[in-house]
Amino acid sequence: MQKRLYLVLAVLITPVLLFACKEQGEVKKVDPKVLASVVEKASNTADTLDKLTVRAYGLGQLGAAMSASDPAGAAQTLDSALAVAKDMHSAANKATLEELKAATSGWEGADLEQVKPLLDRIQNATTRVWAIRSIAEGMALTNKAKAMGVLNEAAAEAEAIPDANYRNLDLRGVAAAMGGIEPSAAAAVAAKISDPRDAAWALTAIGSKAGTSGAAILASAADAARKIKDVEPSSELISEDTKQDVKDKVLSVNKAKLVAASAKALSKVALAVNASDPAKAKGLLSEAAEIAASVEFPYTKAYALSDVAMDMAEVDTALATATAAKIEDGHEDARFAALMKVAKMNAKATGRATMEDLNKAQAVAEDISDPYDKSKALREVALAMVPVNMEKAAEAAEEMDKLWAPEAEKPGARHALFGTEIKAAVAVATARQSEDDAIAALKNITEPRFNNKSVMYIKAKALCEMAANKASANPEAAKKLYGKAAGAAVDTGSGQLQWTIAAGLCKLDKSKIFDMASKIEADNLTKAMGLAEVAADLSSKGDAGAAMVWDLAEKAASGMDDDMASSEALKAIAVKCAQYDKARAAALFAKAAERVNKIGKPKEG
Amino acid sequence: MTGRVMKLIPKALIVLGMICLATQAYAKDNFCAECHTASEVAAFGRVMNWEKSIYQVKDTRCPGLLELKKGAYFTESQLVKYDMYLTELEGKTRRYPEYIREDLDKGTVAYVDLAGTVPTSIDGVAGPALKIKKSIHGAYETLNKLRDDYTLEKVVGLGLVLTLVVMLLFSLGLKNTLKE
Repeated sequence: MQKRLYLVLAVLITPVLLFACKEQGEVKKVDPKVLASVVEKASNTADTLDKLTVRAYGLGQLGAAMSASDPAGAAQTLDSALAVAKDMHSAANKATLEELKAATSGWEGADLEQVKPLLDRIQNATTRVWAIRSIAEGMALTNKAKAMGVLNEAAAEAEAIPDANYRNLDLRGVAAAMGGIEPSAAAAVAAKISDPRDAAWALTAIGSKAGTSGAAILASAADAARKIKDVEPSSELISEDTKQDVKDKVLSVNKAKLVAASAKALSKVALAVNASDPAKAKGLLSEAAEIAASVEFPYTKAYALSDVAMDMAEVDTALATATAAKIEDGHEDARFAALMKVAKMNAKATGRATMEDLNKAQAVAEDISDPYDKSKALREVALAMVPVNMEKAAEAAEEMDKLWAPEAEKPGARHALFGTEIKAAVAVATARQSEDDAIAALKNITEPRFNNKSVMYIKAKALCEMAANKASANPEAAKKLYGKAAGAAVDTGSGQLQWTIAAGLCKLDKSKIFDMASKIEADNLTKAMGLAEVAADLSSKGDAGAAMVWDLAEKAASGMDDDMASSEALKAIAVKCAQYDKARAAALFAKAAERVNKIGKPKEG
Repeated sequence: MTGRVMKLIPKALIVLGMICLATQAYAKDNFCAECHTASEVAAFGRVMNWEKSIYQVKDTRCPGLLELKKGAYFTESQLVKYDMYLTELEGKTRRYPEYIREDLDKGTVAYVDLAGTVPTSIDGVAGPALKIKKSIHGAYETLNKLRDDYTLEKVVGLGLVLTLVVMLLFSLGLKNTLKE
């Protein structure tokens, strides 16, 4: 009996042991110490290179911003940006990548998963040229020939990017940047793009800047756009093991997306063509609509038709309305987007939207099934109605409240913000005729007893808009309105809104600035931008007090912890300042450069 | 069971969001300038403005735009939905749901401020948006607790009434038995 038991146990345990041995034999495990050291090295290299990318990009942006006020300083900053960007592509960094690739060549499973994203990051940082292109765009502002040289080098380097997607995107970027300088050279770079979606995008950008030679380039863009629908669909979801019927389904969905992308790309080409040849643009748009209508899947088709109709609206609203009508029932969101664009474009042409257009859009919006999209659509219509028919807009606001609170029994118990926004917009419009009526309208917007921040935000913003509208004609009335807005904004806790109001008020009454600056609780960026606006206004009036406000703005921007964010804030202040005080602007730019140069360097202290 | 699963979904989404953001923070594919030229970035305008349905945007090739639109859709929908739940609860429970509204209210204002900015990178928006989402999620958890408490109150109340009825019937039966 006992012998038999041993035998049974042996029979049961053996397969388990064999299975365990087989598992161990299948995946080769890397020595944990080797794994840790390789991952650490890859991680450090990737982090360093990413920081260098940010530094190069930041310096490039700074150089571009300086070019209007200080071309020599800009050239110097852009040169140092380029040096950083080129340093990332250095042979040493590429050698480190190769070394890491060699060290991990036999890795599998979880080990490989740990190191692969890091290697991808290093590869992107050492091969991609978008940062160089962005620096060259800054150079082009003052020295087109130099920029062209850098872009030519970048184009050659981009061709060697191993990842096809990044290669196409970077070639597209370089070609588009070249477009404003040498369209023919740019078109030659665009011709190297293998994906017709990127090629069409690049050629459209080049053609729209190319002047007389633009027509031929835009014709090539249209050809590239047409080619998108002929691209063989592929999907990351498909593997060798995928069943044929699943494979067919996934590929047919992706094919439909490619057809839709073709239609959309062609309509973008048409918009660029419209500037020189409206008749041809209409032809291209009709062709795009035909392509969109040929999409197999109903949702993709509806959205493609809607996107084309939205572009059409910029050229011919009647054509756009006809295309919107082709969108099948059940896709009201798609039809609404097209009809609303038609209403907006008609309003742009005549200075005022028509109730006919808005009623049409509203009727379609009522049938949108997604509650979020429906309320957003109705809000759009109602806001567009405000300058045309305030009563109707106010009615729409009431309806909006009901839409979101169908079960609210207590009137005023909840405050659908979309409805409140519309009521506030009606009040702002009323203020053009009667300030008292406008204030009364705002007061009529019910505030919750507690936690009324969002409603107060909308009210304060409306008061601020009313004040801004009155500022030039009646500064005293505007000051009072700003005062009321400031009072309401305190309850909202929004530093951004408080500083918008403060900047408006201080333009009318500079004595308020220090009081405001000390009272408003806001992050340094908001504070710096608000102060810079006031300082710019004071400088424009030749007020000696501007210097102190510029200093306060600089102090706030310098107080930001993040080097890149601080540099961007200082740059924005410097750009404003450069219009009035070039020496101060140069000092601000220098500080911005100092902060951006700290990126990737160990923190002091 | 379904309720528990439903409660887990937003938690899972938050965790997923945090993981995604953590990965993005490392992979520096975040600046708009990586794909767009300076003139294109300058022409962005207020891309956060709603122009068409999220479903119409979803096939865009721009990961940044998709991220922004998805963020706007989920954040705004959550803010409005939770506000609606709170309204429904007002007057139904002995506990006062207004204190939860405070978090939602703060989140709404922070979100409106964020939506007014013009992004230059995904991280520039995704970081503050995640903070807002976390605060909204905190409010949601408290709201759920409040709803559970309300359900418990109802069950306990009903149980109490039933016990009293049973005890009354029992005492009546006992009384009649003793009489006999």
